[in-house]
Amino acid sequence: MPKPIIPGLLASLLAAPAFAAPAEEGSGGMPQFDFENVAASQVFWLMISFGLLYLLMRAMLPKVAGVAETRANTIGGDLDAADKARLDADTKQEAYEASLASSRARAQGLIADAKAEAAKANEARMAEADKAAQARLAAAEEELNAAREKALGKLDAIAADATKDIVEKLTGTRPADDKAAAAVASARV
Amino acid sequence: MASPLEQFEIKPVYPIEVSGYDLSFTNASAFMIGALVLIWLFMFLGMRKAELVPGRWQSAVESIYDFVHGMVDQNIGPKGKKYVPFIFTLFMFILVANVAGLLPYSFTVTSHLAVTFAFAALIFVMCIIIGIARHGIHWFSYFLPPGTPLWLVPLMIFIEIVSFLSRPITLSVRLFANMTAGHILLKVFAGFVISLGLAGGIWSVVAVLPLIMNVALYALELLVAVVQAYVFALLATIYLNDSINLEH
Amino acid sequence: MTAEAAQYFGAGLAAMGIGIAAIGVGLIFAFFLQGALRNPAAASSQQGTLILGFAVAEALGIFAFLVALLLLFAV
Repeated sequence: MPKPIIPGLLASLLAAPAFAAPAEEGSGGMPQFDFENVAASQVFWLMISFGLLYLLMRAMLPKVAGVAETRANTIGGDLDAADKARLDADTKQEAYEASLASSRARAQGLIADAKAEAAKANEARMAEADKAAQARLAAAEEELNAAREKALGKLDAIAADATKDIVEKLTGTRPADDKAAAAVASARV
Repeated sequence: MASPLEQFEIKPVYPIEVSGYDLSFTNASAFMIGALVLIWLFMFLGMRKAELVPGRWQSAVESIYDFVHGMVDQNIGPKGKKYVPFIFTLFMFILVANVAGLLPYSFTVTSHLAVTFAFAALIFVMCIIIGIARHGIHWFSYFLPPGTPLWLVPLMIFIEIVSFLSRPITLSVRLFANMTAGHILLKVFAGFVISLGLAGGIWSVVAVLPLIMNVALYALELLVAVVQAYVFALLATIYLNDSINLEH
Repeated sequence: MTAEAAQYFGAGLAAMGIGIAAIGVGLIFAFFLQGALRNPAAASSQQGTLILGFAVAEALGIFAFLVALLLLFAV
């Protein structure tokens, strides 16, 4: 079976139309080389169609180029606008931050002021209270002194009495009041 | 069975004759006009709204424009802005003609040497006219690369002139041959599928092989169609650049 | 050798040129890939040069192909 295949293929190859072609037509099988009958009409119609197409394309291509250019411009413009907007946002953010910082500083100042004022008021009140306390202290001291004086005065009298009693008991005679008082005073250094 | 060359035949649809020249409206003309209408529709519908945020269609139009514009800008520089419509038209026309030619039963405009040579000759003539218009007589110094030793001058001028004159030939034959060869190959393999399938028996099974080959070739031809359109437009740009920016 | 046989013979010989051009195209892509893998950052900027080199190398193969076609169909 495999034997006849290759000669068979060769036979069919040789029988193929390509190789039979020259025999079919007398003068040159290829229509391409038959210029006398073929060239004029082809070149004529080629000139018409190609020329027309060239004119059409000349009219249309600027539109295509224009669209591309518009697109490039639009994209460029959009990019620029975006850039500008970003810059704008940046400056705005900066301004916002600055204002935030300034208001924070102001708040800080207010707080400090309030603190200082409160401290001053506190101090004043404290001073007042201090004064009042001082006054009361002084009054109390004075009272105490008076009381002591009084008590001391009474002590003299008691001492004099005690002296009179002691002297009476010792001597039997009761000294005079002024003598006893003098003695007490002298005894008290 | 039809010959694989049958696809290249020009069939007149509406005969026109002007002063002895046969200017009939043929199937080739129909495909040229078809390419024109297709490209115009593609551009017109894509750019109808011309929105700032493009839809799918509009971005397709714009990316092709950007592609061509980038190619011209890279090769010619700012002076090339004027030629963007020409290169764009050239690229789109050849691309659509190549790809439309791959549809079954269609005709490939660019598989005809007359058409590709017309394009190449147009570019050739444009190069000369632009070169002389821009640089005057000085343009002919293009044929003498700077720093050539004196004894090499005649040879270099000869080589440069030959390479300059061969440009339209290579440019046109490259496109024509790529398209023609690809289409012949597709048709030949398709012919194998048919003849093996009709052979019956084991041959009908073997017919799957050329079918697979044909599918792979079709993908390759799609690639070739796009690459050749690109190459044609790129070379046209480079040739124009030689005339616009004289390097020495 | 008949003229027709010579025609086919010549076409076959010319077709060999396509294969030789294929080597050139392969070399271009191979060296591009080599360079691109060493410096991937610069690769994309050389895409146009790559296609140009490919096109120029391929053009010579296409000349061979054209000669083959002319011998087969036009002579």
